[in-house]
Amino acid sequence: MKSASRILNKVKQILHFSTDFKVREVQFFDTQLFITYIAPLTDNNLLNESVIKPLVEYDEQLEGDVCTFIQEQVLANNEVQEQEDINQFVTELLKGRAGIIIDKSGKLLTCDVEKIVVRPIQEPPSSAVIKGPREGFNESIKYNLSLIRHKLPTPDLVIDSFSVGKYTKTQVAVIYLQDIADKNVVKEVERRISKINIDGVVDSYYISAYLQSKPQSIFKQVGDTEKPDILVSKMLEGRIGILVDGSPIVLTVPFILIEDLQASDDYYSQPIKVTFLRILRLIGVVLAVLLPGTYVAIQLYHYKILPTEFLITIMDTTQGIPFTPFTEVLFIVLLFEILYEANLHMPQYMGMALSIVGALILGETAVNAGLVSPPAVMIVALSGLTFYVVPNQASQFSLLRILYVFVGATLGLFGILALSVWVISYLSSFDTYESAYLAPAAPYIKGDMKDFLIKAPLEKMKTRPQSIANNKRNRTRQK
Amino acid sequence: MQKFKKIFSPRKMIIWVSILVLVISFQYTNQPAQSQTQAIVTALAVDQTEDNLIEVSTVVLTPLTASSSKRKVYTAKGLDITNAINHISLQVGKQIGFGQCDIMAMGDKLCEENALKALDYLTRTKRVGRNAVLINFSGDVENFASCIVQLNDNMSLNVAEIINFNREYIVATETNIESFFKGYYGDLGLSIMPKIKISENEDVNGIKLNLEGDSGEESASNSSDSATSGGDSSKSKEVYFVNDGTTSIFREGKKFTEIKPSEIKYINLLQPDNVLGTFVLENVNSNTFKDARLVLDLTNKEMEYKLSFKDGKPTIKYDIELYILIDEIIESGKTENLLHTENWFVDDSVINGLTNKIVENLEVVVSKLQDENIDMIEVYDKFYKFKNKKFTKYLNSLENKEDFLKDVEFEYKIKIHSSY
Amino acid sequence: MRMSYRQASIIIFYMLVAFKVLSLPSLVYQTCKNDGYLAVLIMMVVDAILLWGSLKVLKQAKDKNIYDYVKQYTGSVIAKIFVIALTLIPLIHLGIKTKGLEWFLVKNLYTQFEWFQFAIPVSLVTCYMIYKGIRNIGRVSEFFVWIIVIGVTIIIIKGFGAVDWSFFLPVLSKGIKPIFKAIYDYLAWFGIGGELLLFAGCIDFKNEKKSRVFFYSALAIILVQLVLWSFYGAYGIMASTHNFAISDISQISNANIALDELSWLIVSVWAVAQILHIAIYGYLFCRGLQLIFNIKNDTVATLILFLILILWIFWGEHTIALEKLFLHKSIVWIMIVAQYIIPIIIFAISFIKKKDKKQSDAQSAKSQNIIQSTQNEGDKASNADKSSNLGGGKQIKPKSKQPNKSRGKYAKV
Repeated sequence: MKSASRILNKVKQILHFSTDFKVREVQFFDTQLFITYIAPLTDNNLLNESVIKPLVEYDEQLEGDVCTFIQEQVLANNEVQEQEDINQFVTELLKGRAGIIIDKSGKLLTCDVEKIVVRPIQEPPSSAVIKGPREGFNESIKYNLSLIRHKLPTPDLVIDSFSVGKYTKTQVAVIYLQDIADKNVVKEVERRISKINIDGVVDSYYISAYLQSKPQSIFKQVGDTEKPDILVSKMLEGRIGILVDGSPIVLTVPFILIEDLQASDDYYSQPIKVTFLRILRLIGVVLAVLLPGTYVAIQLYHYKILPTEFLITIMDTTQGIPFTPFTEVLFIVLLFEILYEANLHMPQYMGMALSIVGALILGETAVNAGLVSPPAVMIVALSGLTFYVVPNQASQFSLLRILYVFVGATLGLFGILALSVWVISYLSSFDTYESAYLAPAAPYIKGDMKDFLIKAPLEKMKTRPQSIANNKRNRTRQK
Repeated sequence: MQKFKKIFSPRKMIIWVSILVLVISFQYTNQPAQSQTQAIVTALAVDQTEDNLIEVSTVVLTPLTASSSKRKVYTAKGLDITNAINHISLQVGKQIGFGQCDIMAMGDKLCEENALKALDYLTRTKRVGRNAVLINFSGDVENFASCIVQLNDNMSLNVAEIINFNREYIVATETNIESFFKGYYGDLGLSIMPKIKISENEDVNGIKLNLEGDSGEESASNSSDSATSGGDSSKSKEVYFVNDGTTSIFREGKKFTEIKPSEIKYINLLQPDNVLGTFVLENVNSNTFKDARLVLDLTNKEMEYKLSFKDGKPTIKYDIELYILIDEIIESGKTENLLHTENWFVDDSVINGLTNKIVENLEVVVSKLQDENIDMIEVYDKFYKFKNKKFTKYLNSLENKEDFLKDVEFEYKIKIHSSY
Repeated sequence: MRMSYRQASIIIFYMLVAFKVLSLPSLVYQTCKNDGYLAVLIMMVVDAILLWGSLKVLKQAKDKNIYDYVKQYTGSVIAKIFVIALTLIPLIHLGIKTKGLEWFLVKNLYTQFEWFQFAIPVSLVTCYMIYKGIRNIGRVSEFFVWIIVIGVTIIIIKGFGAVDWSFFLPVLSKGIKPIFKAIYDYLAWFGIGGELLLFAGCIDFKNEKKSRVFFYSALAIILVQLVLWSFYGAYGIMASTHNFAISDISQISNANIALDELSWLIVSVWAVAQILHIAIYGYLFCRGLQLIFNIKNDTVATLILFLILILWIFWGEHTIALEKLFLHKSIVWIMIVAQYIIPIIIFAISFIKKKDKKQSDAQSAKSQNIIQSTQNEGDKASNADKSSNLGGGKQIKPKSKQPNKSRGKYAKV
């Protein structure tokens, strides 16, 4: 016979006598029941209606074992589980469940009365679209899973759950379409997640760090999205989604670079327009990364490339600038990065005013003071703006830009070319989850060219991309 | 050993190498722009002086100064061109950079001596681009450079563009260093250059420019009238920049004659390039015209030629079709016919008159070319390429191969069409 | 890690074009005058024919490297001699290519240029690519190939406006002798059959499409010929004074000089191709080096190449003109032997022994691990670091299960 009081005391000890741990004593026939719960995590109404009220108001005959009887006949809760272990019982309490300690038998039951406090579903700020769905994920894994289930009402959608983090015990869900996703990739992802040994996980980035083969690289190897429609599209191509409780950002693997050049509303617009936009994005990225470095290189080594009249303009505007071209451009680049960071973190009500001040400082005052030249400001500003045609890669390319400036100053145009070749070579050697990072460009995959730079009409995209490991080639229904 | 491996592990090696590279390259990142450390020359004029020195005048780009001119003229003399350029370098206080040089002008005296004296050095060592415009000029070296500055600054006229326009539309003269070398290294050693005169005497064909100042100082005035810009009381002088289409002919790099613009006009008729031009007919009398002076505008030209050998001598027959418009009619008296629209059609008097004039002039011009062995119409090339065996045989039969042009027979068939 | 057949075709394209559009046109002109393009055309066609033979040998060799392949017929001594001779070709080509690129940059793009401003980027980038393996080189080549073709085409179109087609007349005015003399003198600039054999064990013939090699070879020949016609037709008798055909074509136009200078940016695209050429020849050299000295570690071979490149770029600055160095008769004879005679011998041996080999292969297949495409691009990325990138046929792991047939044509190359 196990005393409920003793068990209760043990639970209180484990919880270090926290004051938010509440107990409600109920007499059920001749058995004493302790209904325990963590107050901030519990939905009081649900607790009262589905647990306390049925127990208190039950007045019919008791048959058989109390624990089984309560579980099967009394409680009006959808998730009643018996816990074998007191530690597991406490863990469930900490997840927002209500626990019932039954006297004499010493059995422990838990019921789901969790109070879910989340943001409402809204359009994610980083993925605004003109056309297409506007719902975005929020911090609750349950809500997020419900959004996905809603879009994929198929029995082939598999959700494998993990608990990660010694203290946070964060729920991590690996989701995939059973007949499409590659089994090896799924295995690899689950293996890596199960091997995570960490104090706590507060954001999906923590998981992402373990999923990457080269976490020290500036290029990310795991995709991310805040929108269910994007996630579902990716899963339909064979990718695997990883949801982390507490984070609105869902990870996807495998990831290839071209994904970031494709926006979600590409699939909701006319193909010709999309083709034009994708080419524009690619040109934008190339310009954004290469422009400042090329400007410095031309100034230092290759002035004869410039048309004479343009050279005169540059000479006029750079006359009297105390810095060398490299220092000048680097100074402006760093200033822009500081402005960007400040803008990101400053309070909203001050944001507008400070942005204007920052722009004025750079745009007008610094030029008038003769610290920097207008061509340099224009080039760096253009480069900085152009990064946001591909916002997901903006920070990576921004770093790369600084490297290009340095190489352009040291080695000139040839250095820039050599660095470009090196970058492509480096990216070509990224193979993660059986997918080549630069696919379908390198290696060239003919079938995937329909959704590379050129966007083919939807009816022509009958097969899944070969750039991503997947099991089923055909998208259409088998006849 | 293990410690050694630990220190020199690949990862650490990358860090060491990166640090080394950073340190070494820091000095390169800290260098100023080339445009600030080099004197950028956009035009260059060279001539030989009376005392056999080389005089060089350069137009150098200068950043914004007190004046509005972005170009300055620097002139120096030296024993040879290297010497002269070094003096200029000292004047400017920077190394001379020829990367932007698009005009290369050579004076008469140097051209008559040997144009290769300057050209070879500049293209081989100083890397003046071979597509830079090459001009022969007569007049003062410094005046020529100053004219370029004046034209650019005050009239927004780029001399290189003027010459290229000439080449495209007025005279079919090759104008760059590359074409000069092509001619020089060809079998005949014949090269041509457009000529520009800088004349202090009034010339109706020229652009009047006001130049002022001494060597090394600003040589161009800021306004188009003759007001001076202050400073020393400078001697303002008027010069005329004459670009009338005169062409200098070189053999083996030395200038030996000039072709007048009027002669060039007829030579162009024998070239494949379709250049424009005008013809003047005097005293035209017909049913339509009475003692009329007609100015005819050539709008289009089709030229074909046939090569053959008659009695072992090369013969070239030109089939020329010209399309003309009557641009201007000046009659001594007023006739009713001028009011009629059909007067714009070219009639037999015009056709015959023009045909005769063209044939006459062609014969005169070609005869001059033959006498002086100037194969501007590439007869040698044509026969060499298309009638190689016979032509080689013919050349071998000559005592002096350079005189081949003298025996060539020219035949002309001219057809005139109205452009309407 | 092996490269795909398509990547191999593209690398063949690069190798065929490599030397023909820089200094060779002006060199050949000095001997052949206006028939220079014929010399290049003849040799490119010969090379294209020989490369088919090399590809057949490579296909037969499967996962074996060239040393192991030849050894089974000729014994180790002769095989070693063959490999040494074959390794000399990429070494010579590396020398020409590196110097050619350096001079191209010095004469055209830079006014002041230190030797290490060239040495460091070239050596680091190419050695990195070589270290990462042939698949990496193949992918990078694949990535840039059409950018380069389009860039070169734009340059050619630009030059075509200034071409005087009559320059090519009369054809063969001085007979056929100067053409063969030019071929003999500049043999170091030609050839592909011999060094291609060093790729034995590096190509995955699974998706072999003969039309691909044919297409890229034909493209190379056409592109080179167009460059030559454009170059010769535009510059005429001055062709011998323009050492860098591909860049000088873009400088032809007389009018609007300002825009001409911007065409250097298109020429920069060709500079990228040069880096890839150096990487390809460097890889072949490293591979040969490993086979000769039995170096198992890729890093060691790459480091040796790195040092050679640095030393050559430094030392080569102070040497006699490149043309004199590579025109030396000894170089010509090495090329004749290594690029033409040795490959023909190997073709002949493999052809004769083919039947015998079929029988012995059937027997040995039962006792050996079946060599599947585990070394192909189809392997998991996690295995990439462990296998030898330069070893080609070594360290092959048997596949544990058959590939999933429902996966379709996904070939991770």
